[in-house]
Amino acid sequence: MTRARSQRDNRRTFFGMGLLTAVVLSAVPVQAQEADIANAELVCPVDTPEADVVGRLRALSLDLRGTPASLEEIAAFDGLDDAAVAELEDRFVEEWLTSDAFAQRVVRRHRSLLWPNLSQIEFSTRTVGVDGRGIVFRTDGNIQETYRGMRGATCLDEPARYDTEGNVVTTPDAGARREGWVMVRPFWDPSTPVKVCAFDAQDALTADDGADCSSETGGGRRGCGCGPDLRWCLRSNDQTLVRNAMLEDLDRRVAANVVEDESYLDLLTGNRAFVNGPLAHFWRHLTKIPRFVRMEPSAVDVQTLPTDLAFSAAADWRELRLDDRHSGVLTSPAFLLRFQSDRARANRYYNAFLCQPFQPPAGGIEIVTGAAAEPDLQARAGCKYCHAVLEPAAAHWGRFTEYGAGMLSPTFYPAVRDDCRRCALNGSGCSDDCNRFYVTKAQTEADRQWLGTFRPYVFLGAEHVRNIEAGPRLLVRSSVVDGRLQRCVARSTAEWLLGRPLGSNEDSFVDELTRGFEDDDFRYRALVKRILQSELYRRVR
Amino acid sequence: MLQSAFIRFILLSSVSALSIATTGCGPSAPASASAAPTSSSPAAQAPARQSASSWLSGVLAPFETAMPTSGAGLTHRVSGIAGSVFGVPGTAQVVDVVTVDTVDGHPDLAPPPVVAPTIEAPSRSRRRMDLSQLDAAFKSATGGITWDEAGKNQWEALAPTLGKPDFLTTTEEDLTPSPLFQKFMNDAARKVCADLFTRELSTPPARRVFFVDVGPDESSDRAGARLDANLTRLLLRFHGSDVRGAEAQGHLDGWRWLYLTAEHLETPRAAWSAVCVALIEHPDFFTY
Repeated sequence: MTRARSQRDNRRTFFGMGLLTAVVLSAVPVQAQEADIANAELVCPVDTPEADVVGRLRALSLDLRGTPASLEEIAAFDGLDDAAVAELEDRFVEEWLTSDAFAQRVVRRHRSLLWPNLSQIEFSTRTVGVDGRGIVFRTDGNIQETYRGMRGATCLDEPARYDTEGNVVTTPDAGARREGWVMVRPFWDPSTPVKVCAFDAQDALTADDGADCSSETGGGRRGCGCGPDLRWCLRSNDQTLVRNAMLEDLDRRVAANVVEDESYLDLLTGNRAFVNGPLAHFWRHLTKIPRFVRMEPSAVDVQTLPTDLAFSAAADWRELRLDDRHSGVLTSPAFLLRFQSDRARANRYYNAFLCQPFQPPAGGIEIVTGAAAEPDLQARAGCKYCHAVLEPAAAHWGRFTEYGAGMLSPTFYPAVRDDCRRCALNGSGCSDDCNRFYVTKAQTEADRQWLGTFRPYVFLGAEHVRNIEAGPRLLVRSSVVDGRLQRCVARSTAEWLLGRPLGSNEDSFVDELTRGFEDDDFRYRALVKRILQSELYRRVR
Repeated sequence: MLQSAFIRFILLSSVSALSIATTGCGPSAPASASAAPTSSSPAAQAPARQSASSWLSGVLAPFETAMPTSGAGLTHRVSGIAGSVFGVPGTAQVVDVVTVDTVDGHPDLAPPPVVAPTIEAPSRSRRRMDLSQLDAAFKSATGGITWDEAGKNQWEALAPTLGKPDFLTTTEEDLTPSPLFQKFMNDAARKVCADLFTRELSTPPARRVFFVDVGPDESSDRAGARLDANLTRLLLRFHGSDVRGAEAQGHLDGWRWLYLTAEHLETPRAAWSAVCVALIEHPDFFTY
């Protein structure tokens, strides 16, 4: 081949690349092209993507500790040769990975996966305030009218009197029948007695009609008050303390997993939890009271709570071991109350930990006339595109109350309950439990076969029934077996640290990380270290 | 760096697009060339029989006698063709700007061979710090001072405005260096630098973090080489940028120029204030 012909071929090759080449080159600056620019001397040189040791240290420190490397840490590299630099850098990375600051970075990262926010939850329907005279009184609902016959009426500023039967004596006053106050050592500060209106301070456990005074129902009875030590009534700030405690429990579970260098699977399947004073008080006394959310039957055995943890001990955190029905953060109250339906819980898990969002195909889902007659979403045309997978996945949370964080044991909530089926069939009034957790109304003929059935079982295939009893642990383990969980965690962690989504051409990098993650027994710290020490991370654009 | 990449994109896109135009691969040359058939003309109906390059050869034929056989580069050739073929008024003269190697009697319009580009290996993305990193970066650079107003940390107070998610209405953190972010960085830089200078002036020189090698009121004439030493130290402290080595030669020029210009107009202290604000507003401070 002559030289001229060779050159011509080369030139044609260039033309073949055309605009595509230009686009690729624009995204990937190339040093060789600088010579082609007529005014190259006026154009800023392109930085090399290889970060120097100081730049690398700054990035590593910001990613691992959330703060730049200190001048002292940078100075430690002065005068070192390449081998010594690599060794010292590795030592710093190892040290930073074991720091609390790194655990907090991982906590922050997991907030973006678990979306914790409980601002919409009211943790007590019974609230108290202090009036201008320094007397504590209940502020919730119409309770003042129930106690004193007039809306907004509080007690007199005098000691309460009782008749011979122990009933509170009231005095007619400005249209209301008012009582005096009693001194109470409140749960939030037992060392300082406070004046409390006598009706509000009642500590009876049951009302005259037998209603449980610690429940939401009992809260409206005249014979029920705030209970012993005012334990069933919260001040407005106390709500915040409980709310923050639930959120911090979640954070602490994540942090502990990192600090202890445990398997990441433990974070999703373990039974570790944390309580502080306000949270322990909540589990002991307030699970029947929250408005609109169902925390009963309690998911936490109160016998396991530390007995010496007072409400005021908001900074005193203790570790708890829950029973084996729990599944790490996926059954934490913060997660269950943030994602209140089983479908929402499964959806979040699929998005955050399997990188598998439920979304319609390109072009949308076909609308089929008459499909709505099919009550089973797993079979209904259109719906089944997602629900054939979502329903069995959601069933893993079947033993945890929807719109709440209670736990429904199979002992008291079997697959079919005769009393619920009976009341559904004969039309007699069904209990609250039946109406909440069992099918008591049939919308279609197909629904009738499910009357009296525990809701998570409805339309569930026989092969998926075990999902309910095995809980989210089974879901996590099955996604480990098929490799989706570790691959998603590896990918999303890499994307977090690299600051960009990984392309399909980088699948081999994800494969390599996934294998490493498995080899390292799913330890998150080891995964992060692999990413930080990759060539990919050492280059920056 | 990003600007450079963008300029490179514009240049390369232009060069490639125009290269294609000269060979007839692009749509613009035939459509707008004065000697080219219009889309409605009979000649335009027979493109299949006449390749684009041979068409362009025809267009260029009248110029060939005036064309040199070597010399001008690709860019010049393109501008010459654009001026003559595209019919720009007053430029329709023959210019000897095209290098043509004849092959079998026909001009070869292919560009000179280029070195095959090396595709750069993938890398991580330079990204903006999140608000807690930014808060820490301020404290780290200033020795504990961050942006606060009346004792209230503004990175926390303004977190929702600056894109920190509440995980109820927003679930993703906005890390774009948006105009709003830049505006608050501007506010932060001025406040933090003012606070820093107040503290520095009441701190013994040995414990200062900003005025380490020079005094706040020391002119550049008097400071001499200590000016560069202080700037070098500040770049390391604020940007994590090590310009001490020979390979970093020239990296200090812009900063020195900024200081000297500000000093020329104002006092040394005002010049250092300008440097402080610029250090914080520079992308190297809030990205990594």
